[in-house]
Amino acid sequence: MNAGAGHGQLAANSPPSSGARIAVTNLSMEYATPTGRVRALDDVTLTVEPGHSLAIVGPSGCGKSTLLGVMAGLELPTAGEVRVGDELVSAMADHERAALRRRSFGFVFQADNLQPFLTVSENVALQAVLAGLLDEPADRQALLDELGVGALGHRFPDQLSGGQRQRVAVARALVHDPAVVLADEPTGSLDAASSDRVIELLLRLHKANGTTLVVVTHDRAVADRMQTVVEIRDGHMTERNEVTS
Amino acid sequence: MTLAGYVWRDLLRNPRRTLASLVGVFVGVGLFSAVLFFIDGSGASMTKRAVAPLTLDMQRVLTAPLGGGVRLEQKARDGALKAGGAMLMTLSVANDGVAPAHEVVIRDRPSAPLIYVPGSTKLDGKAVEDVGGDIPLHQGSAGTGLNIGTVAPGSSHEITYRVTAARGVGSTAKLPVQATISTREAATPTRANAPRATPLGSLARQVRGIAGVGSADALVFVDLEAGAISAQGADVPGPVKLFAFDKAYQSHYPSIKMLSGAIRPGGALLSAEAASALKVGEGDTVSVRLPGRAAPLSLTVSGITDLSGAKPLFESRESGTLEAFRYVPYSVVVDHDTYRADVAPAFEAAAAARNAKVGSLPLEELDVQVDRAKLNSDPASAVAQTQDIARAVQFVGTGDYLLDNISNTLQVAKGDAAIAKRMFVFLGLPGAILAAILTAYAGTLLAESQRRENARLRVYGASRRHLLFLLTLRTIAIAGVGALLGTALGFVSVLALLGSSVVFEASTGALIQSALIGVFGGMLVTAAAQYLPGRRLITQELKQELAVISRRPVPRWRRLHLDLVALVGAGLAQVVAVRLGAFDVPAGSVYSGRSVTLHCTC
Repeated sequence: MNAGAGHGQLAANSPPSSGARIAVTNLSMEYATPTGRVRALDDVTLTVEPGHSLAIVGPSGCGKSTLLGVMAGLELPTAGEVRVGDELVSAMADHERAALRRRSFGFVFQADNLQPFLTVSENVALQAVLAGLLDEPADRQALLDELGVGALGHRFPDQLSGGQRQRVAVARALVHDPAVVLADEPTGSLDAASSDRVIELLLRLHKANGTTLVVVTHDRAVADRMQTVVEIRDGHMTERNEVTS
Repeated sequence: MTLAGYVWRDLLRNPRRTLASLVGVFVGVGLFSAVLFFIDGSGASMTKRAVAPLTLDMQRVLTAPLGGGVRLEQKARDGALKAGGAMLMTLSVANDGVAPAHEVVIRDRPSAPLIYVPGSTKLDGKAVEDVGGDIPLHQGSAGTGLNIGTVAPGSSHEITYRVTAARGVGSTAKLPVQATISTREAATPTRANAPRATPLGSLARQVRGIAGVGSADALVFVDLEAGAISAQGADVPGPVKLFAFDKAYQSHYPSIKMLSGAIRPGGALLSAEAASALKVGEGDTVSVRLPGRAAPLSLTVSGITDLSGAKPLFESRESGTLEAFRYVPYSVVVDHDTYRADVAPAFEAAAAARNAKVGSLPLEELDVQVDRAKLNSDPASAVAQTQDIARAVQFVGTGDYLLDNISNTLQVAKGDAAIAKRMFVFLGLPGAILAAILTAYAGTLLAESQRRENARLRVYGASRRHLLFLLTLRTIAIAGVGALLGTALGFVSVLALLGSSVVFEASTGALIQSALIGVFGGMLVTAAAQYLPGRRLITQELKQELAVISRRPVPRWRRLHLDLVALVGAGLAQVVAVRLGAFDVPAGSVYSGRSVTLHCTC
């Protein structure tokens, strides 16, 4: 974690200072398949205000992970646009999107995607290195402590439980103080207790840092803990709920 | 942690992947560098192995050992000659030796500005017709000389022809002498007015002083009639060979083994077979019958010798059967003084006598050993050294010709070495290609895991530049370590195959050069084989990276395991070829100990 780095309006080559606004406008996404073209997203429009949390729910294959991928600049939409902060992600070149991701995004996936040959501490440090930050072991250790895995820094991922690995994944997602955290089924492979703990952590850090949080989930209970819930069905955004709690 | 640290940890903590990548480089570079070291090792010992079976490095053979032999003298009036002036040229052929000279050929043509006067040639006063309108001593475009037939011992002939001067000559004595003489016995032409032959002893002393010469020793030998050695009324039951050499000769050729006694002045060494047949030992007296000598030569036995392996003494000197070992069991050895005092005069008398039947005449030669330790390990360089030595040896004295056996042998070895190097290069290239294929194959096997890792890093924001940097570091590490280990493997393999004594015959510089080629060449080839596919992976679209790419259809040749079939087939073919002797040394190669051509340096 880069101590003292705040969040602000996004720029691909400058550290973020606060949560970023995400604006998805008339987004469509088509894939070519052997049986013809498949429309994964159809005219989706939504906005996430800076520092807010959003849950995307829907059945398997409805396009919610695709929506997350397009928001992150992992894929380019067939039509429509995606803005993160002031940046028009959908018009960026590949290297610009990569730069945006490493500086401004934190990712948490269902599979932890930790490098198996790196220790917990090194996995977290890798993200900081990619982001071009100074490797600060003390900050890294503080973050791991905060996530309850501080004593596991020297262990390898295969020596951890599923919940512990996911908490390390959260640490990796947050070590470079991203403006946006994108989580794709972060609790999908965890038991109820671990799931609660991970979501609790994500929300606590989201509130503490003012990070914009987007979570794709099947779990309605997880979704209900976000400020906004949108539902996707067959590529269409069918419902938007503002959770008042 | 840095990106270099990331790669370092990846290599160390993914040993299976690292080893899989290393093995291809290791094996391929090992094969490639082994070929390089093999070339060094075998090339370095090639001179040594080529000359090892050679018995006599150089032989200076006297053309007229019992006297002067045939000589040619050119005489002309000394002084100035005006343009258009005429002069008589006289060529005198004399045989001062004890044996007839056959097929004596005189070759000459006037030196410019002298011009031959057509029809003026005479042999012993009788006119000799011109050939093609030109002097008969220089016929046709080849300049063939005039064959005057046999010149008997003690006889002489005179050839004269007239010349005119095309322009004035200040001094006719300063005109170059062109006339030469050759005979069937001494086929190499000798220039007219050549100095008298240098005595063998003097020749030996001068040749020993030449740089690069290890030893120069006189040897004389002659065949005697059957039963020529006798003692107490008994004769040896076969032909006899008489040798004359000294202690130095014996020490330089250890195949001459002393069983008892030694060479002593006035004494005789007997071969073990002769001593046994005559039942004589050290201190007894034997008689040797010599042609031209009425009374047998009486000699005290000073020692018994085993000559059964003495190649320098019994190897044939005849060009058709060169190096054939023609052992004569009943042999006697005398010292040079005894030879000069008693043996040579007997043969001279026999040869001079009318109607004498002399079976053979003594052959005198100087056997020269080159200092082999100083020869370059590469036959191509070594032959240049021995040819220099031969020229220096030939420059000393006159009246004989030189057989340069060692240069002839090295000439053949030089050709063999060049062919061997080309063959080894053709073996080395497949090694390099194999290194690249194995490395690329290992890369293919690991491509999927590499692709996943790249995709993961790309999601977290790694740019193509990051991934290329990681790939470069990984490639350098794998190719560098693999090439180093492979070169070491190649060196150790060649050490085991050829032995350290052969490998270290090569110069340190050559070995270092091969090691550098092995390391850097291997590194370059394998790095390219590893880097290029990796780079292709990285430049693929991120979308493709994220979808764990469906496997390409396996090609039919791989499904049918045709690669394995080809490998097994190649292995079987090699086994069959080895068994059938396809890789045996060809006959006539220097390795069988035979040179195939002889050049006489005269």
